[in-house]
Amino acid sequence: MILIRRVIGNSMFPLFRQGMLVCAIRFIRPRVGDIVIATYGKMEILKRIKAIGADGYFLLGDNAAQSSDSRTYGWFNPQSIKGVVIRKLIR
Amino acid sequence: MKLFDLDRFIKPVSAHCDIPCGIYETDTMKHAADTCLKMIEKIEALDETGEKSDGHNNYIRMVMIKEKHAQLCKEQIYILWSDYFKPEHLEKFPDLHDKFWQAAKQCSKVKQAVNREQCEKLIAQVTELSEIFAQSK
Repeated sequence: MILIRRVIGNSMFPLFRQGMLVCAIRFIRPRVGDIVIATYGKMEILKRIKAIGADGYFLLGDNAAQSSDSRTYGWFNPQSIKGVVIRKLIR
Repeated sequence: MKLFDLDRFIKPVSAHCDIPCGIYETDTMKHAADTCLKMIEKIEALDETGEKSDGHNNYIRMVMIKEKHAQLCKEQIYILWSDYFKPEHLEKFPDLHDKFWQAAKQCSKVKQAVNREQCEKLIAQVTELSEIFAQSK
């Protein structure tokens, strides 16, 4: 199943900028280094998997200085990972 | 006429620093531009009478720092431009887009040469952007 989302913010700058479209696929086993769409509360966030451990996934923004991520939110459980980004659709 | 509005079906995904946090500042941008000028001053003051390889090494290091901070300055400009400023700010600052665009382009000019005047122009632009930012709050 494919997810299309529009990026808000620059925590994944320079790879993803504000306004870009990203395409993600569900039901792929995420690996370290993958960029994923994860849920945090009612919001979906776009981050990169830094580590996988017993507690789930540790997600960081590429633009660490401008990112709130697992450093603040903690580990994300596997159910919160909605999809693995496979490409950007520049618009 | 737009027959099919695709955007209606595309949900946003947040890559923001927060939800959003709303924390924006101009110090990083100004510091980066000042660092570029400092590197240009140091390059101009390089002593060529010493060991040649040391001089080359220092020159390359200073150029790299200038490059890095000009890029950082550009990124900070983009963040303020795209994330902080909103359409309503345009009413008060109608030339806002042009000022940010020109400042971002000026960062590239600072990268392209060891040129004090270009760097001083960037510092002036960044100072102006900071003033606009302060007035908008």
